[in-house]
Amino acid sequence: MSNTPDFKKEVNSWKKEGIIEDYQAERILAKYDLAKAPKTPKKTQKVEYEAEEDHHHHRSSKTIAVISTLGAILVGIGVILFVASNWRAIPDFAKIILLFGTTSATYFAGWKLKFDKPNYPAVGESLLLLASLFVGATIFLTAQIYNVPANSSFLILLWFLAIAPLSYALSSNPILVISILTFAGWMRAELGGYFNANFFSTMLIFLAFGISLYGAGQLHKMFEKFAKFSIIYQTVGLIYILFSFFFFSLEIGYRMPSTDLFGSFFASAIFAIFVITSIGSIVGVLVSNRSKKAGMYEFLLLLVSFFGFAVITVVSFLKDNFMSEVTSPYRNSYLQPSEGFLTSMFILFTLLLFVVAIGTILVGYYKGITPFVNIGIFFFVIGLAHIYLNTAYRFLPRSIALILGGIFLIAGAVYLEKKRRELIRNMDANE
Amino acid sequence: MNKKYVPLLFGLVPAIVLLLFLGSKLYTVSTGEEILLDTAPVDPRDLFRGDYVILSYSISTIDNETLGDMQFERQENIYASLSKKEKFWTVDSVSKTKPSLNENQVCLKGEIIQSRSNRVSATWGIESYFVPEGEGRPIERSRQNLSVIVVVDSSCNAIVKDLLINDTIVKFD
Repeated sequence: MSNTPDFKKEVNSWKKEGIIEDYQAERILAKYDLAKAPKTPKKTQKVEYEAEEDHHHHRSSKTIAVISTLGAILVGIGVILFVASNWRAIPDFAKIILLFGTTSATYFAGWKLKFDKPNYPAVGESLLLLASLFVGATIFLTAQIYNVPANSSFLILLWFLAIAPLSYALSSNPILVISILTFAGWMRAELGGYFNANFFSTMLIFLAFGISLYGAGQLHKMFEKFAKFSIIYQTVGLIYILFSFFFFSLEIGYRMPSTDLFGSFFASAIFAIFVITSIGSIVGVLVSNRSKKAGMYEFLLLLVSFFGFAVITVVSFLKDNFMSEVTSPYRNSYLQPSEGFLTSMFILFTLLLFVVAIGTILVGYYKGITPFVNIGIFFFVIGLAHIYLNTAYRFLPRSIALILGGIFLIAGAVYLEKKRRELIRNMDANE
Repeated sequence: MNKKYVPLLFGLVPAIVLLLFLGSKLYTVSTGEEILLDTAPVDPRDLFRGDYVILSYSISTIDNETLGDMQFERQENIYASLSKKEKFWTVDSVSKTKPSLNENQVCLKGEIIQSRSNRVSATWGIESYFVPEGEGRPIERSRQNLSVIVVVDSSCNAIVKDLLINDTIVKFD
């Protein structure tokens, strides 16, 4: 170095101006033999202070986001209920203009706060969510004014079509969640209201929907711009999978009247589409994660989920074989699922629920995704409670069963909460 | 164009969807012909959309006499040609495609919800009538002499315009 004193001065001035840290300055100078090399790259107090400040800031903005989102949801529900009351004091057209204007104004305010002058991004995000709820309210109000049949699933589809592009354009997680839920709601309304499919058949479709959503999340990881949506898709997908398994472990589903799920073109088409997308999801997860431990857990989790889907599909086709005739003194003999069959399904789907719940916790742990850990533990507890109610509660005197159940739940909750916190702490430390 | 305006432009998507939906209803109301149908209420209530009366029509069930040789499957579209009889409009004939109409006829487009050997049941998109909160039950009690004015456009789409009890339009304050 030709002009060492000047260079040393320059580096010191960088340090004074806060461009570089002490440790970095020492290392630069040491490189040119102008100072002794620093011993260890320890964190300065300032860095630690900044990290703490960042953490605090992150937490407080998260709190603001939660509060403003809750506020948006409350206002949205209030407006929907206002519409539901069908208040006739305002002329119909004025009501439409009012709601249309409110929706546009809310959307504009949300955009302004999130994108144009992003001083309040969390509040902006909540207003955008509120605007997407208002879109639904406006559709339902218009339908109400023109007496569109109340069970029309088309209205939910319209709502979905109107807001789904917004979730991507606005990069909004809450709107994406509403979009997924409206899509699922449309499927349920179409299957249940129109094709008379019962909840059992809908849950079968939802199970495949959950697997497909997980795959959609995996697909989003391939695009940097949309990678943030992957957790939303996968979290909602896992909830659908786990809830379906819980439902199929209950007796009530199998006692419902048989339905003609595959008798309609819509139901058959949607079933076929989800079979294909589910298989695609499993293959996609396998291919993209072959060498990673968490990836293998993900693959196994989806494979087990698909196995459960295949079992229920077979049961739907062969349901008559699992029925036994019951003779009642009060009515004619009727068919109901045999006890052996119900017990087998309870055991199988409770086991599957535990496997998928544990798999969800493991994937969450290894990938550092806290919601997965929480969801996995929640459904694990639900499964345990179901086993308890299905076994001990039946055989013990009611008072003892309730006391034991209460103790078991309190102790279990304390233990699992401790474990959950431990897991999340470990995940934070690994990060 | 500045990138921050892209999300603002996407706000037009819900606006377009809403306007198309509203426009289709306004078209029917402004260009359609009014017809009077005989009806009976079934059951009022909708948690999210307020009170409404489910309406059942005599034209919702079509027997073999009107069907002739035609066979309809569940979910299939059905078109009905209607003309005014003494007081109410009733079905003259049905078809699977939009029919050509006489001067005194209108058509309704519906879907088959049940198909039996001797008759079919159809919905015409006019089975709900929304009322203010708490007003559904009194209407349900007035099962006698209930009729509705329906507006039907040239594409066979229909909208319930008014509900009548004893030939008087029901008004809500």
